[in-house]
Amino acid sequence: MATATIPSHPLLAGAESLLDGPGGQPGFLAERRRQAAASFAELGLPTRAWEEWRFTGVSHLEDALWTVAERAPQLPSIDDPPLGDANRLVVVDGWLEPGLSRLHGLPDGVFVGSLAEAAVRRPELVEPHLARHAALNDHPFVALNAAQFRDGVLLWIPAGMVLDRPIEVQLVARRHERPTLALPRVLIVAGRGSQAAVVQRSAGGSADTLTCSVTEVVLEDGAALDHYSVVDDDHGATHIAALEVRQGRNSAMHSGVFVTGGGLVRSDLTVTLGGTGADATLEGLYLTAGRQHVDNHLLVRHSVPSCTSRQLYKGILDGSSRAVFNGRIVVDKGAQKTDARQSNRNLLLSPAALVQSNPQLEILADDVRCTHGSTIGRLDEDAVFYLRSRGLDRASAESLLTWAFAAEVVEGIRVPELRDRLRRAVAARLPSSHMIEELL
Amino acid sequence: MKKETLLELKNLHCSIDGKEILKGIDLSVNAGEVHAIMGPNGSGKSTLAQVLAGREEYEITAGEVRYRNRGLLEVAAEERAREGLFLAFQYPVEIPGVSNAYFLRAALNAVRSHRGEPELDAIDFLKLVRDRMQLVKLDEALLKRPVNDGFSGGEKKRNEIFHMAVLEPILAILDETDSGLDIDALKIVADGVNSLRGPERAFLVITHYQRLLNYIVPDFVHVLMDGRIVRSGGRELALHLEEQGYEWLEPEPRAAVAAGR
Repeated sequence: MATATIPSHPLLAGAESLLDGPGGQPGFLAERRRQAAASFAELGLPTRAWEEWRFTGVSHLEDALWTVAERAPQLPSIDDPPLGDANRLVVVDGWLEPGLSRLHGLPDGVFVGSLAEAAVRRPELVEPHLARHAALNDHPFVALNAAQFRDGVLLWIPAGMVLDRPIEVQLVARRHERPTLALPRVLIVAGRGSQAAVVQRSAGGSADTLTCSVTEVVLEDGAALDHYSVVDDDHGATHIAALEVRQGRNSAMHSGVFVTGGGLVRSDLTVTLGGTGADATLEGLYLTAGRQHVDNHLLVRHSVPSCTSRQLYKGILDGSSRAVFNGRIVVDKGAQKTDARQSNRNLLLSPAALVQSNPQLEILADDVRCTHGSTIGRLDEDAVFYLRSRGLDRASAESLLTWAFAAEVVEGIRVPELRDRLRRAVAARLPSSHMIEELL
Repeated sequence: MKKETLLELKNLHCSIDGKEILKGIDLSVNAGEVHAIMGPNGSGKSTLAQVLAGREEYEITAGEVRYRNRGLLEVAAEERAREGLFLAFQYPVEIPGVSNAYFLRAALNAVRSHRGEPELDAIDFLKLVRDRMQLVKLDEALLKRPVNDGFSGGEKKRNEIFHMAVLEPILAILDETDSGLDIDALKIVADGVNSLRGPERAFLVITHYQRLLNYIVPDFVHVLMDGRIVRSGGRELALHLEEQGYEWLEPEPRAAVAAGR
């Protein structure tokens, strides 16, 4: 075979060594990187003419000269304490840093560690999945990550194993002098009948940071996974995240996507229910203020019969922030007895805030139950009056009702320490935060 | 000894969206009294209740309301509550995500701190609410549940009376607290209200039906029709209304003719 020419695009600069040959990486990975690079070069960055990017402009990213982050010469300090007794992995600018990570009490047989290392040493765990699930051919940032990612995390849970402590994956972006691209990648494989909880959190960054994260999740038959993703980057930072989930028979995915920070945040969550009896519960909360822009794209594909999915995404918008919710349910022909629900509710705290909410159903089977609903509104004045008539001042009444709006999602978090943090994050946004903190 | 006048309405007019609902109401309520306001649907009963509680959507176009010898209309709803005015809602609002106990404690502490009293700690609060729940035979599980969320119609109304019993108002307005209650629930609610009657406290009981007044016996009955009080009297007026309906009081001349007067 003739050597393929390296596709050309400014965002692929520096990728030659990864694409050219194995260079210490297994052949399958180099091959997938080349496919991804070719796909990215062909797609280019999305424009507003693309249906899926109509309300989120990223073309300004073309104006900067991005370089992929090098490994940090000195470990940054991490302010956030770990979540309770969680096993923690810290990924700085896309590189797993064992010096900042803390693993304790993991049972034998589970693999938790560097994705790049695992690709070399345990290719049998990585090869069947890596860059196989996240779509390379229609999401340029997913392709960009696959072509260029340096490292990340593999969590591989053998069949039947129950992890009783959560795994925390902390994605940290450092501040940089020049436009810097971080490409963390996470692969989670939950073996047959296994159970685990994973909390992925991103933080840090600045106006010169572009984080492009990709998480692939595989739930084999009967696996149960709680996966929470918290985007809490600095308000100037751009974070484009993709989470791709494949579910086998009778598997159960409970996903939470919580956006509390970041300047421009795009999150694509794609779930394919590929085994009968699979269930996906997908919840989300975005708290926006100032000039933040948060775009949640969900695609739930029912490809076999008798699966259930439930989407509940809620937004609380302040300032002149913008939110986009695009929820698509696809029911393939033959996926009878599908039960799919979707709900997107938005609370506007400011007249300058704006939401685009677009539910989309594509149903090719005939014996299904699919519902969707979407609301955009302000606080209910009847409820405000009710509380005031019992003695609460307006700020307290509004805070309490806003809290109550968020609580439906926050209280569903099954990792107590994370639930507590999210409660506090919501409370901190409210005018009478001291009052709400008494609730906690 | 002269009883304190708690509430005084003089020629109260109010409108919403340019439509006049209350067309000149005069009413005086003294401490220790129970006044019933009766009237057909659309007569302005609930508007009166909402205006007294401080709902801002209504425009007061004329008249005056004094509460404990102070102008009430410029006082915010929350301050009215802290000053001892309570409205039991016809349609209590559901608040998912906020427990009944939490809300009530926040309300009670707002009232107490306004009175210069210390906030109640959790233990004393629980003692108080347990005691008051007995009054309306409310299941203690409803304390932990979100406010009114998933409550039955009867539970919502009993919960309102329970809130009232905890907040110990000086003037309580009950807006159609009897609507949607079966006879057993009605008796429970009435017993709760009666146990709170006292020389310092007054009640304004708004109702469409006289049934409730068999159990909460009023000192005065007023009939509100088309935004005006057209008749006031004692308890016998309510009984008379039950037999005759409202038509014989119809203020429109044509209706009066129809009633044969």
